[in-house]
Formats: sequence, structure tokens, C-alpha cells
Amino acid sequence: MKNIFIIPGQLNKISIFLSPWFAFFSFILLLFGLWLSFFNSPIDYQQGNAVRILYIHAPSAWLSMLIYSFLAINSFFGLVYGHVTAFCLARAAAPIGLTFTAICLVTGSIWGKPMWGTWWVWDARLTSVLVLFFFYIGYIVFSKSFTDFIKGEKFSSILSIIGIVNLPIIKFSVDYWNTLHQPASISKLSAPSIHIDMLVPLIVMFLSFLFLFLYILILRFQAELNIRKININNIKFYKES
Amino acid sequence: MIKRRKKVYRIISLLLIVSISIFLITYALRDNVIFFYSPSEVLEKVSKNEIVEGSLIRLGGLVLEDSFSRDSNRKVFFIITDNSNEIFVTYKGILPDLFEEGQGVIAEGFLRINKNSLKHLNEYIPQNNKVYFEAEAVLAKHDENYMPPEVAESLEMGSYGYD
Repeated sequence: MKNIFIIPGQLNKISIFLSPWFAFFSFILLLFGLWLSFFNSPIDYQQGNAVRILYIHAPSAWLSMLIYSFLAINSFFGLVYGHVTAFCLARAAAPIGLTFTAICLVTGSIWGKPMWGTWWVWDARLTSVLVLFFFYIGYIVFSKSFTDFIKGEKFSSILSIIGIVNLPIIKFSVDYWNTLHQPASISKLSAPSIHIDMLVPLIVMFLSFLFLFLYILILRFQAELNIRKININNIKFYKES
Repeated sequence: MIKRRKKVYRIISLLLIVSISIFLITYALRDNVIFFYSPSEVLEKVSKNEIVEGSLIRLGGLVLEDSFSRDSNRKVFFIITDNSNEIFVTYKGILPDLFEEGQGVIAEGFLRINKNSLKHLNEYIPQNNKVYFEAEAVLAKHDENYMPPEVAESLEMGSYGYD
């Protein structure tokens, strides 16, 4: 069982089997979630219809952090154990996380203009998410900027592990400091302060985004494996000639 | 095996160093990391002379009930409170949609020492009227509660104790 995640061929086989399922679930849940969030959820008592941005903004924000921890954990295993699959999964996840962070920032900005009265402020939450965005960019640039791709993998993994310090800052920024961004609604110790009719579309959209992430991750993982094979063949070719 | 353990220790020590340095940085800059001051903090800093007349700051709190008024020049006046201290705010410009009495608000602008009485501006004047705040921009802050209007209505009724 443990070998499944370590041997590239095995994981590749499973991923080929799983990918249509992930795509299917993501698509169905997206349709259901969009229908729920546009037509079957109530307006907010303060924000009116503008609250519907929440159903894209919050899931992509959660995923941006989730994907970063996935990236950092894989980098850790890659560094310590030298697993090829871990490096490939990390490299495959990075651009997806970058995209979700960008979606989170852009939708947050669009939401902020009518509600707060500003596109952007430098409060702790917004700034730390922007730092996360830069960590993703840094990881991607770093992993591609070495002629020796193994060196690139190593240094970008170290960078991504350093970046994990940022995740608790994002999470607790709204509790420790005064920010314009409101505190968390879902992960409070008391009951979540979001009405059940709004919670359901939020969860459905999150699951849909999660399956979308897994689907794209699998596709990109297969590509990364092939790129790695090509790279290794290139190295062998140049060493022989 | 030992090499692997060494790697793990190295990564952990790296993480420790980075998190300690981040903590020290944010601790040293804690006055700048927070986005706004509450009225109590502003008054405390005024008494310590850390904030003087004309300092550009952000002031946050709740808009006091029944404190909002508008004059003929489209200038608005309201009072920001944190339930223990109050500061009088003047502003000219467009207010965000969520601006309401009893709602969270953040004003960015300059602190002014009050020379003559504010009585001519607004009928409600806070007890501490040595300083007032001249806002350049007003941002609305909403809370983490999301619910349909009917639920909010029934909750409000419940909290006041009548049906």
C-alpha cells in the first residue's frame, strides 16, 4: 500500500484510472453548486446579493492554503526521502495553487470595492495572502531556473518549506491584529456563524473546486513525470556524447 | 538512516529560525501591522504624545447609534465608539454601502485638536471632545455573520425580548 505513492509507475496507473472520476465529480458538483449559489441561496441581511461572491472567494482561499501545505509536505518528503513522485506532485500542484490564490485575490478585490469601499488595503490578512501568492511564484520560478533540474528541485523545495511559516500567519492574522477583513466564519470554536442555507452551497463549491484541483493535479502529474523522463534522458545523452 | 535524520533536523531548525525571525519582525512592527486603532488606543496615544495633531492614522470602531448627521455642504458627522471611548469624526465624500449606525467602520485621516466647541456641527458631542478626527476615506467593516434578512430580523426581535 505504501509503495503506491512512491513508485511513479503505480501512481501513474492509479491516476489514469481516477482522472475521469475526478473530472466527473467536479463537473457535477460545480453545476449543482452554481445552481445553489445563484438561484437557491438567500441574500445576506447586510450585503444583499453581493454575498454570492463568497461561494467562489472562500473555497479558492481555502484551496490556496490547502494546496500550499500539500506542496510543502511533498517537498519535505522529496527532500528527506528523495521520492520522485513527491517532487513531481509538488511541481504539479504549484501552478494550480497559484491560480486559486489569484482567483481569491481578484474576487476579494471585486467584493471589497462595493462592501468595504476599497479595492485593496494593506491589512494583515490581505498582505499575507499576497505573500503566499509570491511564494507560489517564487517556487515556480526557482524550480525552473536551474540547468540542473535536480538542483532546482532541491532549492525550490527548501523555499516552499520556508513558506509554510506564512500559513498560520494567514489563518490567525484576523484574530491577532485589527484588520479590515472579518474573522473566520466557519472554523470558530462556537457554532459556525453562517446560515445553513449559505453553508451548503459553500461546501458544495469547495468540494467541486477540490475535485477540480485533484483532476488538474493528476493531469499535470503525468506531464511532470514525462518531463522528468525527458530530462533524465537528456542528461544521459549529453554525458555519453 | 542517520543522513536522513540529519536532513530532518536541518529542515526543522531552518523552520524554527525562520519562524522566530518572523515573530520578532512582526513583534517589533506590531504598531504597523495592525490596520487601525480603536478610540481608546488613540486617546491613550494622544495622552502619551505618540499621536500628535495632524498624524495620519486609521481609526476603527462602531458608528454610535443616533450620532450620524449631514450638513448642507454634504459633509457628514458621526461618532466612532469602542463602547468605552468615543471620537467625533467629520468626513466629506461617498460612504460605502454598508455604512450604517451600529455598524463597524474604519476611517483614515488626520487627528485634529479641537479648539472651539463642536456644538455647531452636531447635536451629539462625545464627552471627550479635546480631539476630533478629520477623515479622508471611510471603509465599512462587516462582521463574520452571514444570514438571510428574515433570520436577522427574527434574531433581533429575540434579543430585544418581544415577538
